[in-house]
Amino acid sequence: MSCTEQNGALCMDAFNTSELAPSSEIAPVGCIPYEKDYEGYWRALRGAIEREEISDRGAVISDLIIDYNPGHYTAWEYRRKWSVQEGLVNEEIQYAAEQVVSNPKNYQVWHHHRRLVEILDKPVDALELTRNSLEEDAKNYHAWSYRQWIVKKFDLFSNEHEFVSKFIDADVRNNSAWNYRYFLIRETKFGPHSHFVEEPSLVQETSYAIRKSRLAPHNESPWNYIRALTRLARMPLVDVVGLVDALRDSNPQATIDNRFAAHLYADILAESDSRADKEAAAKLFQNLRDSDPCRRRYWDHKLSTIQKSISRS
Amino acid sequence: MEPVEESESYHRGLALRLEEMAPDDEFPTESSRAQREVEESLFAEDAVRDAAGLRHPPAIQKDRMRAYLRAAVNGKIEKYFVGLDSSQPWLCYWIIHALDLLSSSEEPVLDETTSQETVKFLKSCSNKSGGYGGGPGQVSHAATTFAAISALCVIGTDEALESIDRQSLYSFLIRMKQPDGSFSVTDDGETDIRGTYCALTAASHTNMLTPEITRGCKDFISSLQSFDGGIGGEPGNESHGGYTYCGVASLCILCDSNLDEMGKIIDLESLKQWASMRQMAFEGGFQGRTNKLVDSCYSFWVGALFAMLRWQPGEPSLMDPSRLNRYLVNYCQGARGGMRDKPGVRPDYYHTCYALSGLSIAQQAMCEEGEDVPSDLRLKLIDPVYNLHTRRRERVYRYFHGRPFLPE
Repeated sequence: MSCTEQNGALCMDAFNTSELAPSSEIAPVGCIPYEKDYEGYWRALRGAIEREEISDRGAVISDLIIDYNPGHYTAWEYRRKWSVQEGLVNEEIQYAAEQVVSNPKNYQVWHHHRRLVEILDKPVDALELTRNSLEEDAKNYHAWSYRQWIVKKFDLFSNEHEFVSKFIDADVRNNSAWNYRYFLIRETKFGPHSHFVEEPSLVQETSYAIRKSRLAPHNESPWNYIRALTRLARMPLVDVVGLVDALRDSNPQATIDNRFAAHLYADILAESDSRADKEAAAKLFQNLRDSDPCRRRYWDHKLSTIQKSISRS
Repeated sequence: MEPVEESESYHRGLALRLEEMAPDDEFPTESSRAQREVEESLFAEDAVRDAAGLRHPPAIQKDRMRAYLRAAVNGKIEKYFVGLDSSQPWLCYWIIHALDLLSSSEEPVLDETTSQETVKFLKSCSNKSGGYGGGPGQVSHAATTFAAISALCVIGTDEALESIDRQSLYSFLIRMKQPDGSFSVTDDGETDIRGTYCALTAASHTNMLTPEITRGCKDFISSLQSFDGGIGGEPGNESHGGYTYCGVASLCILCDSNLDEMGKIIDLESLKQWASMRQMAFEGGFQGRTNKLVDSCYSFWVGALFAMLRWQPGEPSLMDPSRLNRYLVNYCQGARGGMRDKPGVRPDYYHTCYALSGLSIAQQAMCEEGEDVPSDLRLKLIDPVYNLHTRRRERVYRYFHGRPFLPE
């Protein structure tokens, strides 16, 4: 029941003037100058809502409103009620998919699709929809979040590793992709879906991240990922095979010029029981303080924490 | 003619700034190319100023900001804002809160008539079954409920606060409550940390933080902390400045800002790390996510985290407030008033509200570090948990705490 091709005036003909709600109250602050058409559509839909009328003509009007303002969550809610009542959820989900393409950063559109998938209890086109959307904008928060939900709800993990790897290959700095990768590892290794697929071990995964970190060492994402994996494995950072070597590799003169690597190395040393290691960590934090003045106060905080630990040991 | 020394120090400064650009490790990708474009647009701004002979940072143009905002009071905004038709209480809050920050007195932001009309208008956005919608006739939404109540707090008159129907608001909030402790944003809407923050703020202002409201909130927030220390909208989602703000501010409400208590629910050390890494050395402002671009709205969403995460007043904030101030003042002021996301985009009310809120936090931190912020440039102090001028929040607190609430 889409009206985009039709004339809005014809759609309005379905309503008598007496069925329109009165003009809306005017906001004294931030008043939007509405176009006459839009105002008419809203008066028609508001009238229908107030009469508790869920109808085809209301759905047509809701589409016109959404055309102007895809954030009109009341119109979206109306369409959900209408499509359920009329048994048109399968058709409505196509409409939702089209709207996702034109409004990829809109909460309501994605939510509409998600609710309809919930109602039908099958992941209609959702993987394709999120893939297409992420190919347009590889960091679209809604798309990644929706994909997590779909994959989890319908146990669709089997090709996801390959899926996310492509995004990391395309842009190793895509933090959304790294986040998704972590989600996959956590769910498949430790979640209720762990029986499902053969996943790389945490050790393999760590060496993957170390490899990726070498492509662009000043990329924060893989460094955060490595820390997270070790926490997931309940493994001290220092035991990560190859990690300390990798850090030392990039550290020929005992000071590391990369603040992410230096930070991680300093945190490893700070975990150690040895006083010498802790002092080395303090030295690194001192260097970070000098070389990264934007975060001076944060490095001061790290420095004072390690100094307290040294004076206790 | 400028003295040579000054020119040399200027160039030394420039060289230092060049060093602070995000290194692309000679491995450019889409992210690093977009980052470089922003850095270059900042340089272009500097070049324009240099050509005009303006070396020193311009100040915040308070009059111009006020004029931009005042034009939206009892006047129409631009047509293309129809996309905000479901955010009318937001528009109202953004505009009057920003005006409040800019005002040099404690006088009401709106004249008596406009204030009465605004209270009446916000009432027309409310629904019998509780809460406020995005406009008259629209269904209630947690976010517009937050915005409407915050706007009423800025107005601050007895009439404004009396207009909040607590019984129906309470039943709306309870209706939004989900089994896992979170809140849905509408009857049939999405559930994420925005719902929790908006619901808790509404309940906190109106003295309705009952055990039924707070049940399960801490567990829900705890489930949102991501592996890098920040907070996402739903469990498993990427850390994000806006959601991290909602999570931390919610915890402040639940734990009465007691950091020992908050530290039992989320890991504050990794949160501090995540938040500190969001400040962009070269630009000075904050990004909202790792490897994304600077945006002035995060001056508040992320900047407020540092204000909320201090162990005690007087302890230095972990951010660099002068850099944040520099980003906002040098690069985000629109030529005809208003604040923008970044150079190259037009100002809007949302960014004006949050950039100025962030500037207030930066100024506060600068003053605490002993930097001189001339009093005529000062913005009003804000309470970072509610994003209201501290006096407005105190007034609302006193008003409702004198009126205990009993659910019917």
